Amino acid sequence: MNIYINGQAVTLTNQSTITDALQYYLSETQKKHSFAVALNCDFVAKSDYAQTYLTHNDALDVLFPIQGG
Amino acid sequence: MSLSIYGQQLNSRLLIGSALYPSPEIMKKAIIASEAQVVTLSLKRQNPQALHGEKIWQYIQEIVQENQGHLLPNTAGCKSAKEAVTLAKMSREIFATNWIKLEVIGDDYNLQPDAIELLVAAEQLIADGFHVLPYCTDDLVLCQRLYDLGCQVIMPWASPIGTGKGLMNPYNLETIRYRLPNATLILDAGIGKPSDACLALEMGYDGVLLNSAVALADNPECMAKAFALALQAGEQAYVAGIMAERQTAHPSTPTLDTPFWHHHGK
Repeated sequence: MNIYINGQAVTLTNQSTITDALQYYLSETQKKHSFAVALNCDFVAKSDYAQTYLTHNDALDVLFPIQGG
Repeated sequence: MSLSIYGQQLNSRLLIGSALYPSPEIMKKAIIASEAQVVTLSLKRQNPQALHGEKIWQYIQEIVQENQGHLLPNTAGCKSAKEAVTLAKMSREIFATNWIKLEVIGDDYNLQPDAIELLVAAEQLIADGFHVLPYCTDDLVLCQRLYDLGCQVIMPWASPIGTGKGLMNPYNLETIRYRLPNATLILDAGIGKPSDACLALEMGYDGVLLNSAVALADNPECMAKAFALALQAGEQAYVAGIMAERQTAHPSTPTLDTPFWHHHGK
């Protein structure tokens, strides 16, 4: 199936979870950093990543801390 | 001097942004020089190779630790209540704070807040346990509605973000202060120079939130100190009680026993 991570098209196997998607997408360094996730514009708590299955055309946003005003 | 944000007492009346500095090192020096204990920051997408954001985040954590401060994540870039609520929840998880600077932008040209979406987002976030600090226009009724929803802190703009135009509508801002005496009012956005911040405090505003005015100064660290002093001056002036304006001139020097006065007209 195809999903979008931060707007980028990604192909994952069926029955993939958010944990699987992050494992595929993030660099080893990023995995250790602080980030938060939204699935189809809704917040998903870290504790739910492993139980949240993705479906075709889902949009995942992975956000990191950045400077702001 | 003490500023209360949702019951949290702070030693400085300045809230400062972490963006636009020439380097992370200068940002750290400037924020520490400003004495601000509240530092704003945001969340963004980042490609897997980028590490710049993590460095900034480490610096901000160091600053907050050194200043015994607090993080204030914002919802910059959001254009709907739904986007803002989602981003607020993501921020709460990462930054472990229920404070949120709520921004919902309605117009790309002047980055004017969308009053309707702002109210919708504020109501949902308050119901979800957030302490909302809404960035809004200087519209009295909007500020009143936000306060009625449960926003103990209201942050009307001085002028559009990043313009440095200072207080566009002092009358509106004074009216908000007069009509919402119990709200914590923080002037947010458009501050250009220390005298703008001083003026806000002279009006009785509780604090000022700024970023560009310090970050874009030739010497951010020095400008940060200037703002810290301006805020102290403004607060002292407000506490001291500013004289009433008068329409006509009044001599400062006593007129009694003025020498030579009787020679006039001769």
